[in-house]
Formats: sequence, C-alpha cells, structure tokens
Amino acid sequence: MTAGTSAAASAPRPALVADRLCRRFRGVTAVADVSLQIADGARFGIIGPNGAGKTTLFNMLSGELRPTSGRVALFGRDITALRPYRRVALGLGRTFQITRVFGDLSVLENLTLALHGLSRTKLSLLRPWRSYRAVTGDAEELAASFGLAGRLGTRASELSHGEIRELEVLLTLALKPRVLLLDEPAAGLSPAERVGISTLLRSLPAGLTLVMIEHDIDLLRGVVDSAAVLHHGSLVLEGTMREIQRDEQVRELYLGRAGQ
Amino acid sequence: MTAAGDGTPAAASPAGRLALAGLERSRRLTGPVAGAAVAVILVLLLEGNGFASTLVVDMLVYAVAAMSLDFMAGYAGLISLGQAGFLGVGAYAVAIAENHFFSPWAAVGIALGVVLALGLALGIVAVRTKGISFVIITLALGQVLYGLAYQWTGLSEGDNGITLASLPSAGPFDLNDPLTLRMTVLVVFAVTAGLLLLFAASPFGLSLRGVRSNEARLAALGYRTGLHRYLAWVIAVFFAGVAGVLYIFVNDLISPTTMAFSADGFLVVMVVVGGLGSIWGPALGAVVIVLFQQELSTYVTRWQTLMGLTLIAVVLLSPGGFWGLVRAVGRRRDALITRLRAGQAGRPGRAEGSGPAQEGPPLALEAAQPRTEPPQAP
Amino acid sequence: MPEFIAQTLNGLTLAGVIFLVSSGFTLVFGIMRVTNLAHGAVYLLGGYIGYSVIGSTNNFFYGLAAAALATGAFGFLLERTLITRLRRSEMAELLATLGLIYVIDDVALAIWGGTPLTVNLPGVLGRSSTLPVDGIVYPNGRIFILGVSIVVAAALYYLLRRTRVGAIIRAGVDDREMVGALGVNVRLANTLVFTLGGMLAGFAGVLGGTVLGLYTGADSDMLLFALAVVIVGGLGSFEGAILGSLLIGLVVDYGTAYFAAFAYSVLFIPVIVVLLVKPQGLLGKPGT
Repeated sequence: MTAGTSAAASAPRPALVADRLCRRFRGVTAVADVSLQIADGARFGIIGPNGAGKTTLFNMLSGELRPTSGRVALFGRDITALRPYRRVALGLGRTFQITRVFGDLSVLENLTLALHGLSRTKLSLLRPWRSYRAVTGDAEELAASFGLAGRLGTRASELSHGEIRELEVLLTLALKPRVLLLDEPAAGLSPAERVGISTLLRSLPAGLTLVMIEHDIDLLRGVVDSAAVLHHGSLVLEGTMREIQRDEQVRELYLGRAGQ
Repeated sequence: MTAAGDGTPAAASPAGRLALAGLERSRRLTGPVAGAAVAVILVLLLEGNGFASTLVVDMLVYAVAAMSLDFMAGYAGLISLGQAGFLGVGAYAVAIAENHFFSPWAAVGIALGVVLALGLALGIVAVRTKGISFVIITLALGQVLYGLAYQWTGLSEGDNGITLASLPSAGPFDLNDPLTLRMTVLVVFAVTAGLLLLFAASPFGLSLRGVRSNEARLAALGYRTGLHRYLAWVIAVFFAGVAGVLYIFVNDLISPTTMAFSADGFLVVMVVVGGLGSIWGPALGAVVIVLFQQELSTYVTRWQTLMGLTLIAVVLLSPGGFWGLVRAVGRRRDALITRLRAGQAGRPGRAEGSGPAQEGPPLALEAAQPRTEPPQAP
Repeated sequence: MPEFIAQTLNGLTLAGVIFLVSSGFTLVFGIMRVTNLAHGAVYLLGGYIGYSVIGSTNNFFYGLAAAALATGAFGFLLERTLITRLRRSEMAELLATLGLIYVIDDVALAIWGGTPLTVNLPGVLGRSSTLPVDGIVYPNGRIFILGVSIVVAAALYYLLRRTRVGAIIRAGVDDREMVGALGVNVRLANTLVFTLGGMLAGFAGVLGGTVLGLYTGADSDMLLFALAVVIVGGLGSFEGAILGSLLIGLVVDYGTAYFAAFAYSVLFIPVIVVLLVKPQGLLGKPGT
C-alpha cells in the first residue's frame, strides 16, 4: 500500500512512517504487514471493526509493543527500538482508550506533572512545585483553553467522563508533541460529551500531525482528512474520507457480515 | 463536594451567624493550638531528668523514622516492612565504629555513610518490585539485616547488643549532657520534618505522587519512574539511618530486638495510623504508638493486642489515618464556612463542585482510578 | 559424607515444614491476591494449640488434628469477617493482617507464655533409626515429617490437578474475574482456599514444633521463609512453592550448619538472584 497522503517524491519528510509492521502473538497475527506514510500536519484516521488490530498498531507506533517485524520512523528517524518515554522526548504523544490520568491528583497537579516532564526540573527537590510560576501558569492556560479552568482544584477521579478525556488529551498536549496518536478519544462518551471532544480536537494546533482511531464516523469526518481501514490486521483501503465512505468493501465490513 | 446552591440565604438567621462565627474561630485557632503543642514539647524536654522528657525524646526519634517511611510509602506508594532494619544499621554502625576506635563524630559520619551505601546498593534490588512484592522484599531485607545483627556475633555481639562508649562533643557542645542531647534530637527532628516536607512539596515529590497514582502514565510523560522510586527509597533509608544514630545516642545501647519484625511493623503502624502521605501524621502516629508502648503497657498488659486492633480499625474505617480524619473535618468545615458566608451575603451557595482545592495525597491506601470503560478489543 | 547426608535430610525436613506453610500462603495469594502476613502467626498458634491438646490427651495425632481444625476454623472466620470487608484494596488487606499478627502473638503470649516449648513426639517417632545409607542414625520424627510433607504435597497436587475444585482454584489463580463471570461461586472458592491455608499452617505448626520448637519469633522466622519461597518460586504458583521450599530449606539448613554467622542472610542469595534475573519468580507468571 503506497503513500496516500504525500504527493511528489520531493515532498517533505513524512511525520510518521510505518514500514511493513507485523505483530504476532503466539500464532495469532494481530497486525499483518501494515505500511503507512503520514505527512507532517496531516489529520489521519484509522478505522476498522473491533479486533482489526488498530490498538495493536498504535502500541507499536508508540512503543508499548515491539513489532514482530517491520519498522517505525518518526520524521525520518528509526524509532522501532526506542521505549515509549524516548519517543515522547522525540515528539510522539499518545492517549489511551482506558484513560490514564492521575486520579488522586488535582487537574492542576496533573497538568503540572505533564509540563515538568520535558525538563530536568522534575527531579528538583528544593523548591515547592507551586513556586514554578511559569509552569503552573502554563498549566492554568492549558486548562483554560480547553474549558477546564474551573476544575483546576478538583481531583481527577471526580471529573466527569468527558472532562477526564479532555484532561487526557491535555496531558499529552503538554508535552508539545509534533505527532499525536489518539486512541478512540470518544469511546464511551455521551453525545453531549462527544461534541466537547470534537471541538477540542478541531481546535488543536494546525501544525500538529494527528492520527486517530475512532469508530464514530461522524466525529472522524469533522476532524480527519483521510484514513486507513484495517481488517483482521491488514490494511484494506487508504484514502480520503469520502473515498472510504463510498467504498463497497468498507460498507460490507461495517454493515455487512463482518460489521461491528 | 456539592454545595446546596438553592439560593436560600440560610445564614442570614441569627443561628447561622452564630454557627459561622464559631466555625471561623475554630479555624483561626489551629495556629495557636499548634503553637501551644510545640511549647508543651519544649517544656517537657527542658525539664530535668524526668521520665516525661525521656518519653518525648523517644517519640521524636521514632517520629524521624516514621516520617522517613512516610516519604516513600505515602508519596511513592512504597510501603516498606524493613525500615527498622536501616534504623538498626545506623545505630549499630555508630557503636561498631566506636568499638574500632573511631571518635564519636567520625562514627556518626561512618554510620551515615554506611546507611547511604547500603541504601544505594539494596535499592537496586528493591525497586525492581512494586506494590505487594515490594512489601515482601523489604520484609525479607529487614529480616536479613536483623539476622546479621543476631548472628554475626563477631561484629555485633549478637543478642547482648553493643553499649555505646561515648557521645560526640565539640567544645561546649557536648551530647553527653542530657539537656544538650535532647535539644539536639529536637533540632534534628525539626530539620528532618522541614526537609521531608520540602521534598514532598517539590516537583520531585509531585512526581512520586504521580508514580503512586499511575506509574505507567508517568512513564509515558517522559519520566524515568524507576529512578524516581530509587531516589525516594534512598532518601527514606538515609533518614531512617539518621533516626538510628539518634536512637543509640539516646539509649546508649543497640540490640537486635530494635530491628526485629515487630519493630518494622511498629513503624508501619505509626505511619498508617498517623496518616499515610502527610509527614505530620506519622510523626503523630509515632507519639501514639510510643505512648502505647511506654505508658499504656503499665495499665494494659495486652497493649499489643490493642495496637493491632487499632491498626485494623483504621484500615477498615479511616484509611487516611488520624491525619486524614483531621483533613476531612477541616474540609467539611471550610465548605460549611463558604456556604454560610454566601448565605449571609444573600447570595446562593456557589455550586463550585470542587470546594476548596483538594490538594495533598489521598486518604486511601491505594491510588484511586477514574471511572474507566471496559477494555475494547484491539 | 554421612554428616552431609544427615544435613541434607535436615534441610529436606525443614523444606517440608516450609512447604506446608508456603503452599497455603501462595494459594491464598494466587486466588485472592491477599498477602496474609499473619500466616506465620497462624503457624505458631497451631503449634501451641497442638502442644496443649497433646499435653492433655497424650495423643500426638489428636494434637495434629485439633491444631489443623482450629486454625482452619480461624482461617474461615478471618476470611468471612475481615477479608471480605477489605476486598477493594490489596494494601488494606495486607495491613489488616499485619495488625492481626500483633493480636495473635499477644494472645498467644498471654496463654502460653514466652518460654520456648517443644512438641514431643510419641513412642517410636521419638526415637531414631539406622538408615540404610551409610549407617546413619537419624531421628524418626524428622523422617515422619518428611514423609507427611510429601504425602500432603501429593494430595494437594491431586486436588489441584485432578479434581473439579482444584480446577476452579487454578482457574481462579489464572484469571479471577473470568472465573466469577463463568458463574462459579468465587466467594465459596475463596473461603475454601483460605480455610485450607489455615489448616495447613496449623498442621505445620505442630510438626515444626517438634524439630524447630515453639518460641516468640518463630512466626516471623517462618513468615520470612515462606516469603522467600514465594519470591523464588513465584507468587501464586503451587509448583513454585515446592521448588522454592526445597531450595530455601536446603539453603537455610546448610547455611546454619556451615556459615553460622550468615545463616539467615544466606537465604537472601537465591532471593536476590531470582529478583535480578526473573522478578516474578522461577515459576511465576509475568505481571505478578
């Protein structure tokens, strides 16, 4: 499957490249020979029925899983062997289906932790973290820009579903990623909450490359330009959202025998 | 914490005003009460050779050990059942060094060095485990140290223990003088509390709470969480060693019993009963447990049963320990004051939803997790 | 050479007692994720109870039975009252069992006092025989303990591998939530395993009381051994308990015999090695 998003051969380096990624688990092939090239600044979706291998693919891109074969490259640099925290430092961010925020900590503390992640100050022992005004200021701004300003003092475990999702995205944004992987950001959200997430996603910085797994086609349509369809671990189709929605195979996958 | 928000100006009534005044006064009193407590401690320490001062000194020594344990247990979630082992190493090292003709000051330096080295070395093994496994490993570690104290009789004189030869002195500053010694213990306690509180409030302290809350997520944010846990361990173990040095200066004798399993358990009881993750709580816990041990034991022979039952009760009813209770009460009071004030001014109570900032480590024994959806198929 | 063989037999005997204690501990952990720190105290309690019953009935086997029944009942009560209330937090369960240690130890101190006691073996068990190997004279009691341990291990193995109850227990160890979802009465299984664990510990206490004695601190000693076993063998693994017990029993025994100063610490070596090489234990599952 060739590049569906970059045009000429002299195009700038793609932000994220998956090169023939495979992942086998004791005889089960979760991901089979998937190749993708995602351009810098692109908004890209990954769709497919449950069990298609989407999260496994993500896990290989972000480093939670080692591929059985194949490589991953970030802005031209081979990151296949790098652990997640190294990839973070290189600009790759990721959110998870099962939201992982710091439940015991307040929203402000959550964001402060994330913001310190980029600098050596995370090991600083002798000054209260509240005294790092620049950092806490950034945290407050981040929260405010996405509607969580009034919740700074609330424990994360006491936020609503939608707010927790937003916090999750914010935590990842705090690391100033150049490429952001979002794993089903709208899963389990009520229609009202989906609107909130959708707004947040659409207001993300333009230069940020976005790769998103999502079942909700409407949500996807509003956020991504093109997408890849996975089924049984293989890449079935890649193209613009319109092309995908019109494609017969895809319709069969979703609405026909192998549908959700 | 939800506010009523129904708009009734409840506190405009005389009863409401009275209640508000009472609550606000109680809040203003916390400062003076704390100050009075400090004054009482000082007075007790300063008075002659009375047994009250010995009691307070014992409490201070164990408070240092308990606070050190809290730093790793309450913040990083590393509950160690071997902390008394490091206290013992600190104490033994001083005594053994003096037996080998080092001066008391040198002995202190050697002891702290030994504890630090041991912490650095054992930490490499200890932080390879988490949660329950960590508890088990540290229990084993503590018991092995105890076993060494018991069986390496060539070095430790086994069951008899070692009596300290002399305490450090430098000119007019002589720890052999009981008053000077007691004041020194107080100062060391205060410095330790200050340092640990500072560390806890620092970005590093925040990172430890992140480790406890969701280590995988913290790693995904670029933190080397193993390193953070390791450092927390080293700091905690070091201050346990400091407590050990104080211990042998105060007691003149160190024997293996100080490092037996029940001693490790006592420290954990102090921390949990006092309040995991608050530094002050465990200091209070030390006060309570030392009281049980020295005072209660004269009236109630079965004080250990009582202590065990207390721990069980705390775990069942108030996992945040005593400090957690104090904080919860304080929060309720603050929320009530906010509501009454708003009522007084005729405004409806603001349903802020969060109330005053809920900072600080949680009241539970384990990290809370946000409501999550069941895992979807990949 | 004969001395070495005798020493090895001692180690195996110790391994037997340790196995009886750690098998219960590891099964309880495996199926319920409960770290019962009071397990050593239950061992000691069983020993004391057995001692008293033997003292008044003059029958060793009554003592064994009484101890096992008493500690089994204790385990049952403990699980039904305390543990079920704390299912939400593993750490809370662990800390509660820590508190329980103080209670049990103190009560035992009140009843039996602090002087070390030894359980006496009846008749032929109290004597020694000449073994066919190298003409060694070896206490029958130890041979008995070794034999009993092997029989119990075999019985447990049969229970786990060949019976329906055992299958439920093993499934529970593997995947607790799934077993519940399959409609199995998880609570019943939990109570069963906890009770069984208690019985094994008490039973071991009487046997241990013959060769190791009953003394204040015997509970911490045995707890330490059991913990070393599960670290080495793997938390939750029955086979790991067998393997670990053999290893720890022999290491401790040789250590005490040949390196008196470092006897306790010697058991640390396999623990550290396993932690560095395979942190989940030799036969443990990753993620424990």
